[in-house]
Amino acid sequence: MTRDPRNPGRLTTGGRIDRDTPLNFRFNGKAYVGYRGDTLASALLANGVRVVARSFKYHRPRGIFSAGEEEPCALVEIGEGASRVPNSRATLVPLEEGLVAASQSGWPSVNFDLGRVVDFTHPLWPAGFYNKTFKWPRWSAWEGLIRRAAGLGRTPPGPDPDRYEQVNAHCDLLICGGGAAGLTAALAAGRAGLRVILVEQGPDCGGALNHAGVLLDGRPGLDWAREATDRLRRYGNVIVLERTVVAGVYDHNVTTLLQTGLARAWRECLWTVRPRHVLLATGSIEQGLIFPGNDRPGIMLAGAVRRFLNDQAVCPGRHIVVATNNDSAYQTVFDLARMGVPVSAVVDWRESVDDELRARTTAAGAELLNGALIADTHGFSELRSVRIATAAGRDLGRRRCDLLAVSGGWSPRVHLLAHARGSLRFEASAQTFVPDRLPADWSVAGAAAGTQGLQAALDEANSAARRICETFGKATPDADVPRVSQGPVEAATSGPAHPLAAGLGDAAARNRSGRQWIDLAHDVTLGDAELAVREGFVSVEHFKRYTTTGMSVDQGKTGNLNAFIALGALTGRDPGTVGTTTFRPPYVPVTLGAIAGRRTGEFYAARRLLPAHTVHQRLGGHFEDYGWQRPDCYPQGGESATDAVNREVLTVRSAVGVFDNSPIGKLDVRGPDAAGFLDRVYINNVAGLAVGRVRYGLMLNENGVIIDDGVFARLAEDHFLLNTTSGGASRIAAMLEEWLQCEWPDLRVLVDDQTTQWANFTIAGPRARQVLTALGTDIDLSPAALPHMAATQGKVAGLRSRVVRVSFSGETSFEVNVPARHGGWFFEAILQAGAAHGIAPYGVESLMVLRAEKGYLHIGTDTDGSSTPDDVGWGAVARNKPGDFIGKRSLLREANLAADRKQFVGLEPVEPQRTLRPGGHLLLGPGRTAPALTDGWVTSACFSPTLGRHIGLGVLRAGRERIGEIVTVCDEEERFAARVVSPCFYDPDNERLRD
Amino acid sequence: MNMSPQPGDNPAAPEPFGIQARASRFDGLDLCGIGNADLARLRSLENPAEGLLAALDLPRKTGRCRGDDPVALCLAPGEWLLVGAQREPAAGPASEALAERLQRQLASSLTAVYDQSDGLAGIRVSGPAAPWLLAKLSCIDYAAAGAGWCARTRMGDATVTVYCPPVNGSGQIAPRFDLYVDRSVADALWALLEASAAHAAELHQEFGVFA
Repeated sequence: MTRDPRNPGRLTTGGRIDRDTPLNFRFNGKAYVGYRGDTLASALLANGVRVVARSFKYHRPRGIFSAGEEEPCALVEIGEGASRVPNSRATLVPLEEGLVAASQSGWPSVNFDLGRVVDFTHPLWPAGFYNKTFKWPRWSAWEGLIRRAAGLGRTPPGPDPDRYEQVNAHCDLLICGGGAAGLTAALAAGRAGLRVILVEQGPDCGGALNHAGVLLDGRPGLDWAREATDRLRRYGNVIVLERTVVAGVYDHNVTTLLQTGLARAWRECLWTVRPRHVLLATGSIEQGLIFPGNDRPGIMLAGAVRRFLNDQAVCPGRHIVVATNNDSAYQTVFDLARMGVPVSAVVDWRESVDDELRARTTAAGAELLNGALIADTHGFSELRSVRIATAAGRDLGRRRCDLLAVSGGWSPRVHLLAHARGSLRFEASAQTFVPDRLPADWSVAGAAAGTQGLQAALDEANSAARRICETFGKATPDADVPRVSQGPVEAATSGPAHPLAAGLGDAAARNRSGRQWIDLAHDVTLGDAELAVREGFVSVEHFKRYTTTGMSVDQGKTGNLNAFIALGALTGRDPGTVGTTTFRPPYVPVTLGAIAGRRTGEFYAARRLLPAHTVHQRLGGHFEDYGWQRPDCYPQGGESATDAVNREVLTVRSAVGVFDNSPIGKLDVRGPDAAGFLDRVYINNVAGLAVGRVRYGLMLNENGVIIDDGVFARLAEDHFLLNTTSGGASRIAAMLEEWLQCEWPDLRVLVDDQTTQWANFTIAGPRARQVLTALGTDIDLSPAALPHMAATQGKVAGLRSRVVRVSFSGETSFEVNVPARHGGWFFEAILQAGAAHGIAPYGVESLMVLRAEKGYLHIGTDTDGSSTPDDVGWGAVARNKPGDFIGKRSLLREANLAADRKQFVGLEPVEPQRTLRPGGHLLLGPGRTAPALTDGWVTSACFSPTLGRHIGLGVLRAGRERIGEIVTVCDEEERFAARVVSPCFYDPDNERLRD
Repeated sequence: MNMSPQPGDNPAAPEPFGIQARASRFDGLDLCGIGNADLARLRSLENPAEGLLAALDLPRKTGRCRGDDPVALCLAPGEWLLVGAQREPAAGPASEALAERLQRQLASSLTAVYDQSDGLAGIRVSGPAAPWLLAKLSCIDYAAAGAGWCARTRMGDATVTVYCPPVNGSGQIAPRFDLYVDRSVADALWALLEASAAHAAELHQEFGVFA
């Protein structure tokens, strides 16, 4: 055996890396070199880096334990700055040129961590310690410290600059796992013409076939896997997704896949797949062994050692011992031997093994110790030696060892099955949980089903695929299943495989000085399990939560089985009786970036634009997002927004202004029962409204709470136009449709949302009529023909129009609706026609001042989730309405009839220089200071340019009876007196509306 | 009555706003705005096979289309989007719009036709990568959509009606989709389509049509 001079942990031959493409990377600030085909884990091992992390709780040094997504220890940060991704598993990170990675735990460094004091004082920190301690002075005082000490990475300091994509897909068959079984099934289903998506989490399909020594039909398994993958890609009805992991399965088999975009313009792509059938071919996960000191860097799963050796030619040790309870670890011995790496001993707890295995082991130069266990391990930061003993506790001596390959058997990868609510049963012969009841439209094949043997897995996958094809009515061509000429040593065992289950836990536990980890990710030890049982947490669900086993980012992939078996052993129960907790999505952590996809920045929410958007831009509108992009004012000549609002308000009061009110909801309601229907929707009388007239109305929900307001116009006996709030159009339309379809299907009513079909411009002010006349119209605009609260239809500026006389400003006002495509032109036409009358456009903020001066209610601003009609002064209307309406019954509840409910009032600072602000609380009487029970609060406030002083609106307990009272406004640090007044500050007799 | 001014006269028409004149091209993808589509929404509580509605020969199965000018897209029981031929902008309000004509023809207290020519904007997505582009934005199986298919779905925050018109009347599966979206969010949807196009092209290049 010779080793790569650049990489002391790498052999000069073997592996599937591209040795012609070295890749530079940095870990913890130090420069290293790996090769294309490496993962970060393999590259670190190749460079002799053993300690990559500190454990979650005890800050013990931790290395790389596995080679896949089950990795419980090697969590690292990838990238720098805003691109940094915490909690990445080094085993899944493909090496790229310039990659920067760092340990995310350990201070001042991962190699010398002062936090290890927790380890040295570990008796003080048993399971559940945080539930029992840190109660004084309060948990929150300790929480930050404890969370930082846990070392679960840092959030990036800025917005993620990387791109994430998303896509939906449909298929007949989703195959989870691109190993031997998955490939075989995909070939059969693909040939039959099914739409197939095959998902493989590794860089290429093949799984165990990619390892040297496997021959199919006399050819290397690797070649067969490549050829099969190529064939699948040529089918056209098969998608092969590599570097992709199935993250979760949800209702109706909706499945999410997380694809890593190596060397692509995007970092990750989240696929949402809706398969008609799911085939689980995810293989199995090797489990560790429980023995004292089983967490030291240098202790790895035997299968991981083999994978690093076969894939990346990495051998992370020179003095190697293998410990196992099953046959599969022997393949690691043979593969190491084939590469010229000697194994000093194989420690097998079983009393005997197959003669052939024994012979091959001996031929490989390894000493085989049957009936033996690892009794202890040694080394401060990494493994130096192991002590071996018999199962009965007789010491067999200490061995120099810097790599201990362990195998505690294999557990089917059934997490996705659990997501889909499939059930598991304990299989005693394999000492693991295997699929039992499958969800509808699910199949399972290969090691995921608990099937032993490569040939059996291939045959089973082919059969499963054929059955699936038959359910789709597809003919299945003759099987083309390869024969296994030479396979790996399988995990077959000759009896109970687990030391604890075999009653050997006591022997292992005799060494009380050595803690034995059952969950490396969350630092849960056998001692914690014993404590949990002593304290009565014997239910598997309680046990999990008390010890936190299986609750880390790895979700117990290498810890749960041992934990459940330990719980069984400690409570004298069969693991099948103990049961399992439920694996839940996601199977692997999914980045927030992948979940968000492109919905960030400008795509976070759709920008809704007004029909006259470009005109508003030309006019210098100061845009804000009100659900629509709307100008809140139009500053001119360098004036401030405040000055612009004041100018616009005064222009409306003294001359005329134009407001783009296009977002206002416009619901068309018609049909023979339209009036009756709307009578049930509004608290107001609708049926009595004359054709051509308009009425203001309130809508309630079933609780009697105001949900929307606006005017409704009767265009014909059976035809109404409803104006809802701008933000409520689609919501109210959907609500009306729901009532019609679900509660009153007998009503003959049609509802249609016409909001964007019409542009709407409000011409308001004393000269509004002159402007409208100047535009040219066939409508009689006289107050007699078109009074306040009336509606008509006709032509304005040659355009088909609906004109509604309604006011939200307190001035004479005409709302003119024209087809939206002419909105920009019409806006310009209004400005031109109004120029002689001093017209000015006014924005949303100006409108808010105008309506506050008039004391008009703004739903959502002056109301909240508890406001009833009586609270806002509309109680009599609701009470006097003879018929039923939505929410009527709730208005009769005691709480809604209480005399001290908060009611809508106006507010004026006693000292004119004081400024009311929304949110300020109203305290009873003058001179009150907080803390005190609030009597209400300010809901709207502004400077009134018309009145020349600050005014406010608010809600106040029994407010209508308290007009004239002085209350104390409590606004952050300010306290000042305000007088309770009527909400209407301007034209209380509505003289200006009658013009 | 004084009837001045008229659209297109004085004042000068503002800079055209909307997506109707836009076009973008990507690898395997073409996007273009559909100008001046004559659109109407038909709602009815009557049996579409009887009375005045029968003359329209409306499709009765949700998701299916029928007709030529206008083509009727059945979006829900009792609801159709009627897509007429594109008309000249100058025709403007003077011409009798599709909705007005149909409303006059179908006059009934249980049937209503609503003009949507101003409420909706159209975007045409065509090219072999079109199904992938749309699949990026909504969960429909676009690869399986054939000519004469339609659906109402969500893309981003927008409610979108997607229609797969026949190509030259052949009825074959066509990689062309007409999208009708609320005019106020058409600009946002256009931007989202453009931003998503590169990945859609990549998906098509890598996986083909996958139909």
